[in-house]
Amino acid sequence: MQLYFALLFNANLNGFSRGTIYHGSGKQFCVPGLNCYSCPGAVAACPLGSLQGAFSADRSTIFYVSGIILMYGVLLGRMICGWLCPFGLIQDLLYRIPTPKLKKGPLTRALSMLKYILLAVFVFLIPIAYAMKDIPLPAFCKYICPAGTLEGGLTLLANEVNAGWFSMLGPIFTWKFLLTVSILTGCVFVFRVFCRFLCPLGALYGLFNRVSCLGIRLDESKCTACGRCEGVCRVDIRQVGDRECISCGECVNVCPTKAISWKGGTIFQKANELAVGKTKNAAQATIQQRRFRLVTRSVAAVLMLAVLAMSLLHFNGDADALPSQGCEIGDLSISCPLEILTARGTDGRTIDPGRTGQLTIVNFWGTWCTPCVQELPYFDQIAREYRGTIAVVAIHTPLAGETAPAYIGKYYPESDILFALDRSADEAGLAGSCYTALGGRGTYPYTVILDENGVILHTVVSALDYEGLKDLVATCLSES
Amino acid sequence: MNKKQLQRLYSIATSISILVAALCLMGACLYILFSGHGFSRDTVAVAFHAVSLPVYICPVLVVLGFLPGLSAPPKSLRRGIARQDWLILRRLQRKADLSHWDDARRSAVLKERRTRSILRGISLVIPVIGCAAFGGYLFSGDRFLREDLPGAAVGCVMLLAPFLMLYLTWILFSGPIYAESCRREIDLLKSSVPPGANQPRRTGDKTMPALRLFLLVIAVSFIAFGFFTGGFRDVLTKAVNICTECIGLG
Repeated sequence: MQLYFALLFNANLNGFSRGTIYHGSGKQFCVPGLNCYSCPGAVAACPLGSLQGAFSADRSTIFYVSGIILMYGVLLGRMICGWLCPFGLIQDLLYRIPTPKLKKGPLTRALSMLKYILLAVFVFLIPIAYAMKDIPLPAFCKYICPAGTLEGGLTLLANEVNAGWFSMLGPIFTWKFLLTVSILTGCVFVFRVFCRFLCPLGALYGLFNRVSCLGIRLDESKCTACGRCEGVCRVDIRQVGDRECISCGECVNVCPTKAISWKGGTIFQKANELAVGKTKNAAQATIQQRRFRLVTRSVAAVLMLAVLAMSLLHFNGDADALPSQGCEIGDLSISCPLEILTARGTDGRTIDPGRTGQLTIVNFWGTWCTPCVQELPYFDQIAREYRGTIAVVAIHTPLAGETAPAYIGKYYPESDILFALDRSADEAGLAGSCYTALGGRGTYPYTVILDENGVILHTVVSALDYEGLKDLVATCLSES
Repeated sequence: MNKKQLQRLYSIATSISILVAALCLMGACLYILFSGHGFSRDTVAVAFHAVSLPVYICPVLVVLGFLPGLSAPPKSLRRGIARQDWLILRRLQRKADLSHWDDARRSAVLKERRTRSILRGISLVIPVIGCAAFGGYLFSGDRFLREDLPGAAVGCVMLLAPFLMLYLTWILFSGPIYAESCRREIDLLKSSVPPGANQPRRTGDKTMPALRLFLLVIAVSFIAFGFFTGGFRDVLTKAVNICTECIGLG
């Protein structure tokens, strides 16, 4: 089941070979488990990343994302961790390596509280604090999440098409790589290290375990307190079905009095455990029940396989994927007329970044992107220092463009930067946008430097600081 | 050497190889960062090549280990049933009905519970004060944002360190007292509760479906409100664009 859902949530297999991510509309929905949306295969969004991003977005986004997480929690609780989470699958596979294992005890139980602290600090407090200053910062994704590093960062870096991305690696990548390797190593010796001690999403879902529609249930009237369930359980439960329980189901089989069962009806029970009902012949009832269960399970299996097959066909045949390469250094840039953006919105004036007649720095940014908004002041400073010599054009992403005018009016009312909006993506899709035409491959921020004839001199796929930007401008001025 | 000894040897060898491989990978990454050459495809390839032997040995050992005879871990390393006084106490408390007890025994049990409540209360006060101080530091607007996150993290650690030390000291002091109180109550309850008697009344049978329905209605309402007011667009924006620092590429 875990493998099935991992494949279903990462059905865009083409992304691995192309070295880019899926750009379709499926990503407006969230999957239940922890699946980084920067994974090349991901076909939907990550609920935790979306929640952190929602604090710096419109109010309606918070309702949307919270509603999704609430719905998953009430329907499934932490059964998502046990059955649906792709990163949980990775941890389970690593735990199968036969090595000495660390048993649960008071230390692991104390460590299991750490995920609530991470939830409070890195998912709520820090993003909210930064959002108050209009800086979107998904702190957990940026500083901790191993799923993002493993599924997103490393898989994208492994593709030789993204060889230029290595230049942007630095302290943050080193920290996250060390953390990811530590967590994966720990998973070999300790059952589900990340789920038990670090996962804020599991912490959130765990709060709904008692009320969830599906999961494990304990009938206290049948319980004799023998302790076998807690002994066989590999996570730090205090009672079967509490907030630490991931509903793996191992306790169901060992309970001598059948006090532990699955919520959600009789579909999970064995035939000889079901009530005989009105049929007088118990053996006949058992055969009937077994037949019913066989038919039900067969139909469910066929439906699930059909859904998976359709998903694989749909997502891997998506025509909206980015082309493998846009313009490169030395190429003449394609003409891209863009609408000039001010604090009052667009006023009909246009600009073509490659036809300004000056050395032009084109910066692709977004109000939703932390490094983008953090480096924009440097571009503003450079634009002022080199006024008349160079042109600085900041092009907002096609999506969420309606947030840009207010941001520009608040922080850059008198700036020398020419802000613009790329509407070509509305008609031609992302593949036909100015961003893609100038060699963009989905990463933000992205900076392109064009000479006075529109030929591409340099491209930068990472955030720039003031010194780096100034050196680059000086180099390009001397070249041109 | 018998099968058990082979299994034990294999599991130890695998553990060591995994730890060595992990340390080599982390060391290679740190070397690239501090060497001054910066990350590039070539430097990463050279660094990985230098540590490739232990990294390759690791999966080979794992695959070989799944051959018959070596894949099962030795029995002595499997988990057993843990005896935890606190869990036993909870089970006994669920089954006991103090209303039928004599005054002396009942007051002894209540006294133990009061003692533990006081200990728990004190244990809560220290983290609450620590969290309040941390929250005040976090939301002291400009100071937090001006310092950049690493600086702010250092400030947070310095602020929380005294509370952490105080909390650990308190836990070390109160832990044995708490455990002893649990054991005393277990002895009192065991002597009075026959097995299977005094079944607790099941609560929540009627309220749980109503609560689930209520929460589901809230969830669907939130989703509908967010969807029809365009909230999904922000989710889509974040998901279809790669914010490189957000996935650790920075």
